[in-house]
Amino acid sequence: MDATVGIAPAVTEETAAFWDAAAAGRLVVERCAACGAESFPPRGMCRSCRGRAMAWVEVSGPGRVYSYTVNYQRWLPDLAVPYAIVLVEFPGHPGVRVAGRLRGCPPEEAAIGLVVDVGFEPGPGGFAIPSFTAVR
Amino acid sequence: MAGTELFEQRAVISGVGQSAIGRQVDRSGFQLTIDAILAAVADAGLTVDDIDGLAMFPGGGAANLPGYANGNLYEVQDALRITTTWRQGIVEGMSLPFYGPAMAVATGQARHAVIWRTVKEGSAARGAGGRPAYGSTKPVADGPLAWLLPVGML
Repeated sequence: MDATVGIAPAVTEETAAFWDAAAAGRLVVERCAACGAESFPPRGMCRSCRGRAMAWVEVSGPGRVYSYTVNYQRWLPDLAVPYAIVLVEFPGHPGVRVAGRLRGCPPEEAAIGLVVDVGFEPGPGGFAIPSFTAVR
Repeated sequence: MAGTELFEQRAVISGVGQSAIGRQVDRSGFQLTIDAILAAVADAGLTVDDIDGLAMFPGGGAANLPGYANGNLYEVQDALRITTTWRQGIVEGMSLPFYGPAMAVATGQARHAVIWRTVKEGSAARGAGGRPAYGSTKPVADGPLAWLLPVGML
């Protein structure tokens, strides 16, 4: 399944490090230097204590599907469908949920609670996008 | 600390109006807007000169699709030739176009506010040779969409 058809993200001061790490196959989130809470998406500010000093830490997984949906609609020309989109949370990382594709299995196998490994695949505009695989 | 007084109880929706609608309406969004505003003012039993507040959605000219945003608040005000004490043209929010005017009336900033939304997506899609997907008319996805569109969430 080709995930390169789509719309690329605008990269900002807050998100550049995320996309750089994604290109290297690493999932990173912000961690507050003051209280240690993790936040995603990155805002440069801690959602827990409102601290402004944030550092990047890697989340390696595995994760757990919190919610999902399957898209059957070809809302762009050449968009390959159907595909499953999963919202993944990680044990020990409250405050972090990451949305991405589910690959390596039929979209019908997407399920809440499914355990997945972190990964990436080529996405729109040359970006690597989060793409999870089911743990067998 | 939240107050106990509900500002909504100090404002009412006194009239509603609607322009011609259809899959293809060969009049400008601006003219349809004026039609609907005049109909709403008449339905409220008011005259245009009673209007001192204007609110539209979406403001700022943010067009996620052709026809999604139409007209301009100041051009509408100019066409109506009215003096306002309060205006709101915002991009965000589904109920805010109502909450903002209700707050304005409740706090005395305006007495009679007209709120409108003009959609011409059907006609615009025909003009463009097809309906593009939401967000696809922008080269890149920004804001919250930056985490959705790139992974195929629409």
